[in-house]
Amino acid sequence: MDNHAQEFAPSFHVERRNLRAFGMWLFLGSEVMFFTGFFGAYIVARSAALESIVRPLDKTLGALNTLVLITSSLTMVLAVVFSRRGDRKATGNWLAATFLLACTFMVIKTVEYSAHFREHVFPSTDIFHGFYYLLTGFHGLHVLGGMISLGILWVRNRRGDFDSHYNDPIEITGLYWHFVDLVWIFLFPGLYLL
Amino acid sequence: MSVTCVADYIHPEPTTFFRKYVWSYDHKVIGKQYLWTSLVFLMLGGTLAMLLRWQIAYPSQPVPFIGELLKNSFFFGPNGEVTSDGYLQLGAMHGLIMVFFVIIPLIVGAFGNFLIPLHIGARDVAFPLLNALSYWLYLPAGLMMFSAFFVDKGAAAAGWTAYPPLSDAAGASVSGLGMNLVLGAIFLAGFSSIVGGMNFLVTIVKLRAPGMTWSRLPLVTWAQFITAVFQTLATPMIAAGGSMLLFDRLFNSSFFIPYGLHIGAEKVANAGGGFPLLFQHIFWFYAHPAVYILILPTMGLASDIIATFARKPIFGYRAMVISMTSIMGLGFIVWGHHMFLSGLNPKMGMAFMISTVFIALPSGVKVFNWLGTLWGGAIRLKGPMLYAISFVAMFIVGGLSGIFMAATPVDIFIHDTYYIIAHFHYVVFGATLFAVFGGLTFWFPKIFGRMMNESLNKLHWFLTFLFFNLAFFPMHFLGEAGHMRRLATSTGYEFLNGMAPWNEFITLSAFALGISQIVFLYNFVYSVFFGPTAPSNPWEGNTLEWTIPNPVPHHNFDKVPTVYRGPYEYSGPEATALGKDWISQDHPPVEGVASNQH
Amino acid sequence: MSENKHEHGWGQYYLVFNALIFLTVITVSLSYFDLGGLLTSGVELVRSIKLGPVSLGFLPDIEIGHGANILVGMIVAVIKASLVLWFFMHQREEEGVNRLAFGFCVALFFLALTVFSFDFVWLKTYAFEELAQAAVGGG
Repeated sequence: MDNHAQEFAPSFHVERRNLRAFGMWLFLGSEVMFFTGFFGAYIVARSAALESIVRPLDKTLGALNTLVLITSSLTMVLAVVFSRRGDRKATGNWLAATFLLACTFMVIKTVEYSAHFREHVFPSTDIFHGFYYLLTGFHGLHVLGGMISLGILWVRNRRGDFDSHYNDPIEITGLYWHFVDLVWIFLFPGLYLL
Repeated sequence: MSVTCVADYIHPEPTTFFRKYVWSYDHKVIGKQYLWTSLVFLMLGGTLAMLLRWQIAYPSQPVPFIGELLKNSFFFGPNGEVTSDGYLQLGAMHGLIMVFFVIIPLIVGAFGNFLIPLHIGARDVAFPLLNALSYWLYLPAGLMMFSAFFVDKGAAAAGWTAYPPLSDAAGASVSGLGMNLVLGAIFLAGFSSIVGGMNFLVTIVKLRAPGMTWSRLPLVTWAQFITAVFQTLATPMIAAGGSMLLFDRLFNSSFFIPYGLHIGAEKVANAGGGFPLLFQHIFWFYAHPAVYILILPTMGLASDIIATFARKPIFGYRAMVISMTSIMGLGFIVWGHHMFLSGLNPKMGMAFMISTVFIALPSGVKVFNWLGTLWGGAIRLKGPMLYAISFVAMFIVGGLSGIFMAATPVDIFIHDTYYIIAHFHYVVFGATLFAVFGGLTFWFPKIFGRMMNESLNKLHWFLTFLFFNLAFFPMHFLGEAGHMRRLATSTGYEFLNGMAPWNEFITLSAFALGISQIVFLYNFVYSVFFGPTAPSNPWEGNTLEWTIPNPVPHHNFDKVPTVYRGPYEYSGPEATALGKDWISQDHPPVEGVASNQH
Repeated sequence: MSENKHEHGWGQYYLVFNALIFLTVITVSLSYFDLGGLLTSGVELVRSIKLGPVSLGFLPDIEIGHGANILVGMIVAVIKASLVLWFFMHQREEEGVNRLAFGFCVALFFLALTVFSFDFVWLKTYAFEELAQAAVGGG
């Protein structure tokens, strides 16, 4: 591989980190557009309805989940900072913390969902719960995807794949993870509070 | 972060068959995979269209051969005729397959993959793994699409637009599992499209060779760039809309089902509270940009071909780029013109009408640029050039009929008639597929290292051009006379009876059109294996792909080229000084000649 | 991207984190108040104040009801999102092309939302009112 790369070394340089970050930002842009469809539909369904379609949800669990996700954003950014410094141990620990917080989020979500199921509240119940399951469901899938990447990163970090010169996967997973947080920042007030 | 060399992105040359042809990272192989797959789908999609035409011309008569063979299965009735349910399936599936599984993969997946890295002087796309992933999402999606024909109640039958509540409410759906499979396939294909578009954007922005400035990009690559923007940013909308539709279908939510919807006398089970119109907004927010995905890349292909065979610089390169960029901007704000008759706010209809008329301007600019390029050129009327000129001609017809529809009052009359069918087939078949044929014949020597038979190309061009126009031009008349689209049998309407001979004429022309494709198929497949070996630059083109030998080595360029001039410097002072009428983009500046460097 | 450029103290991240928590507490607590009602009665209160000849009685009634809560909630959410984007996602030190890519999408996001809502608010006002009322009333 190295020989090959040497043999055909091009005469110009691109920072690989920039390449990947640009790709990730584009992907996040397309994610924004994905959620635009859902948010747009939700806004329409609410603003064009003659009487409020909103049904109360458990604010406490929602707020708790918000705190969990915000904290996980902090731990993620710390993992990125330490990986830039090449501190493998601290990076691993903060990655693990992020992963655990993500798990906590999913557990709380499960508690919430099972309470709904016990009360026989399903997407078919009314339009609001349709949106509730749609938005939180797809957000949950994104969290799940993030957890898988975090797990892989933790293993790779432990294996010693990253150092201060190469931490792109951690950086771009960080971007992704903050985006998941970003979506929740809008979902929480949109569904639970307003 | 340390500076890392793109050399890391050159994957080693594969040694096993699996890594070479199946799970390949090589953009050239992935391009070929896209090419073959979408050509197969093209043939299948074309067959569906033939069956549609048969039913329109000879309602409820047994389809020869196929119908007899497949009695009582798929979309055929007991005598081997197309049933009315089957007709709707055929219509919806023909549209969906052609848009999502033929045209987009063909012009973006195949041409984009093959040409972009070669055009910008890169060794591969930015993310080879994602590139492979994009193909391997597309193929299963295509198979999933076709599998819909085999399930109970058959494939999707709600039109290619899948408007709810027809596609949505449990009782209303004209099909069961098939619709779900189709929606899943669209979701997968959309994901593949997003990944591919993102990949191309990063490649074009970051991996251009030294000297390859934005104003020296070949127009093919510019067009692919704009297309990739549409792909990355508009496709997620259909993913969202499709997910909501699936949610409605699988979990009985009611995003697109209004309060109190009755089907027949029965009230649907869904709680209601949604808006069917909302789906149209979401769908067209994607699908209008998708219309530009269907045409923009071929505008690039045609520009390259026309400049090369007219032996002239492209007329108004800058105008071309500006018009494409404004198509990108305007393309996002014209989606409402598909919805004039759907209960859209009339004031917004006005706004959409104005923006739509505006988007005709850049398209017009491009037509004049192509004509200006041809003007006074030393035209070489080879096969690819014939296709490219036909592209321009057909695009003018399709574009002009589009302007009629942009006007709300006219659209109210011709909406959902054969006029619309004529319009978009002139654009998507007449323009896009002609440019695809042009592109295939033009880049065939680079893709497969062999030449196609020129006479057969010309024969195929002649037959296709003739029968295409015979088949689709009369549809304008039918549409003006009020012939509805999506009509399984026209015999029930007295005012349509007079059009039966036209319908028969169109069907016969369409069959002739289908049969003439055998010429191309034969020529293509034969030349892939037995065509004469091609020189590295058979058309005397300027762009970088013609500077490398055939077959293109795994790493594309031994040494990454340095680019000194624009892609269309035909018959310029530098070329003349060298005693020829072309000069490669990476040819060092000729001493003592003022070069036209921009 | 040099290493020094990335060296921010943790302090900054903790600050942003605290701000995010603080804003979350704010939104949650505000959701227990009827801001629209408060605004209406506040305006009335101001109107009733008379300081000799000076009076603010000309102020119009403001009744936006639940809209006030939505407005404030969304403003807070936008602030939170911007904090995450700007600091946690390092958008403030990103290249222009990355800002452009994401910014363009955000612009499209607002475009789509604006046009969709515009269309449907019209529907509600002019087209659906009676029909939908009948449907809701009739079950």
